[in-house]
Amino acid sequence: IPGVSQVALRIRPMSAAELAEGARPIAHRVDEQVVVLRDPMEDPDDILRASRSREKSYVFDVAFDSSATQETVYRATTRGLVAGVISGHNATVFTYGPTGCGKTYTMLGTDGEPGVCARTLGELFQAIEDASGDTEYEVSTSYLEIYNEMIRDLLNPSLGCLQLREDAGGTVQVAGITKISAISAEEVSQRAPMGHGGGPANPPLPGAARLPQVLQVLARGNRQRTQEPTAANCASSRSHAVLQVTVRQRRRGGGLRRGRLFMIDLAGSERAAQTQNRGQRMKEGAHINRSLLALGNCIKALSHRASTKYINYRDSKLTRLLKDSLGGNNHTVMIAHISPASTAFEESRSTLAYAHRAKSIRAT
Amino acid sequence: AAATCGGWAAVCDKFRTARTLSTVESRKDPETEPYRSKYSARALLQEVKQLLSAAEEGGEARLLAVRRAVLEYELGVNHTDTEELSAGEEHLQRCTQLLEPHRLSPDCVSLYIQAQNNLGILWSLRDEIKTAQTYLESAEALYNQYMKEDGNPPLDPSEHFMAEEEKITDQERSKRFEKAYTHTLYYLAQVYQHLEMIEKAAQYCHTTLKRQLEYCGYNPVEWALNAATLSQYYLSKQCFMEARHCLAAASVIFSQAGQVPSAEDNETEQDQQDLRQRKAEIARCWIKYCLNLLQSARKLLEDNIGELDPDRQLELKAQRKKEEDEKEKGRKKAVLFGTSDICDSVLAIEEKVSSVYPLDFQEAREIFLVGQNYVLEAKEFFQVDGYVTDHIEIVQDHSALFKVLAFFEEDYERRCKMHKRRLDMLESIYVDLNPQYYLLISRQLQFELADTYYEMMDLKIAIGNRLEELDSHTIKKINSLAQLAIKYYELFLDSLRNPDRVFPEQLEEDVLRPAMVAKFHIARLYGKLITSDSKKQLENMQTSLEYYMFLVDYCEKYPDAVRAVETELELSKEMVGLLPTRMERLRAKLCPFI
Repeated sequence: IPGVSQVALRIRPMSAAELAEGARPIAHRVDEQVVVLRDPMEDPDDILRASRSREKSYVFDVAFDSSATQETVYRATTRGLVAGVISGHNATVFTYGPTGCGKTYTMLGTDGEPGVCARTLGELFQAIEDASGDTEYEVSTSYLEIYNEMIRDLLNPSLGCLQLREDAGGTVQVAGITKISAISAEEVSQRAPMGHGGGPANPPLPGAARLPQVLQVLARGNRQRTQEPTAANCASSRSHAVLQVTVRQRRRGGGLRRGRLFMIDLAGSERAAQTQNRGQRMKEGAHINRSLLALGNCIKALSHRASTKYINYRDSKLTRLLKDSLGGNNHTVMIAHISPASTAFEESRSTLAYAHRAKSIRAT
Repeated sequence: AAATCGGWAAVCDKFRTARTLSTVESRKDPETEPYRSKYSARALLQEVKQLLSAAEEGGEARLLAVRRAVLEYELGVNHTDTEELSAGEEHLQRCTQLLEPHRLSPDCVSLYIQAQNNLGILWSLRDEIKTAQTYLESAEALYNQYMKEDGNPPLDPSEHFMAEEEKITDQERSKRFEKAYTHTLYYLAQVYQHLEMIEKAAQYCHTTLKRQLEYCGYNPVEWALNAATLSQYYLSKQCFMEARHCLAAASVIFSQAGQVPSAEDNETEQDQQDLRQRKAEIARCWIKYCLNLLQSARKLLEDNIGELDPDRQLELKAQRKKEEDEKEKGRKKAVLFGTSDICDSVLAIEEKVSSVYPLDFQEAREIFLVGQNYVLEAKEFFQVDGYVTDHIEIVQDHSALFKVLAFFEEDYERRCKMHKRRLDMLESIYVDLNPQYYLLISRQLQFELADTYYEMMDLKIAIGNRLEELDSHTIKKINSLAQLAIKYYELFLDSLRNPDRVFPEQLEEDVLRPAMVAKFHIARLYGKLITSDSKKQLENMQTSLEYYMFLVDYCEKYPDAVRAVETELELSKEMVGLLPTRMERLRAKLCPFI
């Protein structure tokens, strides 16, 4: 991941299912930044580690556990980005982690406990309400899903599969996607939204009714996400959901600024985790390798069932969409999620290691 | 068709440029723009597509359709390569639709199969492996049908954008067509593997290897390694004939590598090194073959105390005579790497070692000797310095070869000699090993050394029992062997202690049985020590009792452990009952008046 400026870690509470199978908590938040993970099993042959503690600690920019509220998480991670977006900078918030560890809860939340998206939009709408008379803002929101390399507009799924387009300024847009706009002017006007588009824009929504309506629309959009019946829990596990919020600012006397905020609920990372040679073995991705050079691997695997699979992300749809958000003029926040249960040790360890590595990557 | 000759030539040129961009130039694309050439290629293909649709008037509808299909195919592959799977799928489907009514004819069949191959790959990228399977199996069926009904070398898809004089030879056409089908089979091998249909996957891997020799061009070193690796799969299924064939072919093809002059004048030191390593790795596969064959034969021949059962031996020998080699011939034909030039060489190597179970010492010894030769070959490269783990594994295999050969040897003295060879080779590597860094191997060696001394001691006792009386030399020998066995069992048990030197309360699953067996053997060994000093004898019996008690107590405390040591536990319980009485009697003899 290019240029991550803040990495947060959130440990969710133990689930009823985990408690029922007798799992013990092995991940703990030690202080504001430190998370400790304990290995629930000991390898008797691992003499090099036998005398060391089975615990490993990870330091993040900020860490949360089940005692943290949605508001706390929002304030510590995303809130700081809003001002920047309003003044024309770009920002991205990722949630990362295995299926069922709380990514969607963090991003979308529930009616009673709204997540980052809702709070961010609330903050933005509030900001444009408070804006002085000589600045005009427009906030437009799109909500899309990337699944199997297909882009779907969650606010209008009947459009089917959409294409990416790069405009003259180098910005990557989704052609034809629905945008919900709100303008700061008190009067509800039928003015066309500023800037380029390519898709139908809903008429701006009046005053204070804006936020709840937008949230309703988003919730509807979320139900449109691709569900898989075989997923570990009910949420979709292979689709990325991208909420794109664009804030255009026009000052009287010139100057048009545009900031974009992407809030991305990444697909479950459990497929990306590497398998270790202990007990649990995960089914590897079933990609066919074109080249006969890989015949050797195929033959080797006949005798040993398990093999590690390294997945290469290369210029995929998600990265292209974020092209102008990542790198340079931007801020990226990753919120990684893990389960505290001993039964999820392997996945938690992978996620912590990955998030920890992300901390050291800075945009050039 | 396109209007003028010059116009068509230009179209072909564009097409070819697009292909070059996709296959050649794209490899040089920078990491920040990995698909640059492919996007350019795509633009050119779209242009060609436009030109074709412009030339719609009259002319050969069929020819036009096929040309369109070629473009759809190229675009489909292009989009797949740039990770735009839905667009890729669309193009490939259009391709097959255009070809559908003519898919069995020579101008379409190859393209159709390649389109299906790519649809298979595409669906696998979506993790829908069963869908991939249907496309690939359909391609397989189409090939077979075409070969049955027609069989002539079909047009290569690239020919549809070539001038008449550029068209390729029948021989080349056939080669490319077969290559496409080889890929179908190779992709199916991967699919079957993901579906856990391992036997089928192995079969398809085997066929792919076979076809590589016949049609595809191959790197001899790589091919040899793959064949050798496949042999290990066959070993796991006890298919020795197939395993031997793979290994023999591997050896033959590998030797081709040395002969082919390399592109650069002098091969680098690294290349030479790699070649030597590969050779040694193939040798190791051969060692496993010999070992497996001997050990499998042992399993068939042993009775319930681990000795060769003469009745079983007779039975199996009789059965062998009767057994059809018709069945064998059938199996052989299926897996034959049959190109004429290597057939004889492969056969020559196969004849050096049997692929049927050895049923007596003579037959076992022959296989043993082949295995031992490969041990020496492997050790040439995998020396202790630099390849500790590999070297030790080879020595362990060598020791195992001796162990299994001893099973077939009737004479006890000669058996002892074989075990002595084992002790020498194991001790020499054990002594230099740092147990802190090689814990697992240390334990394995300790246990194997202990077991070997134990075995030898038992043999000496058996030899001694045939004589009237044990002489002092033999007694000394027996005691010394027993003490050494005890020493190594104790070392093994010590290695299980935690860093505070405390023996674990409860033993982990993978060390449970060996630990219990160690305790049991030590108990028995103390019982076998021969001494004229009654007081010493009493001490030994007491120690013996304590070790037997350990097993009994442990299994009471952890009943799950029982199934790991059932036989030993039974005997231990008996001894725990008997020993105290014996000890009482001995004590009474010592102090008769107390």
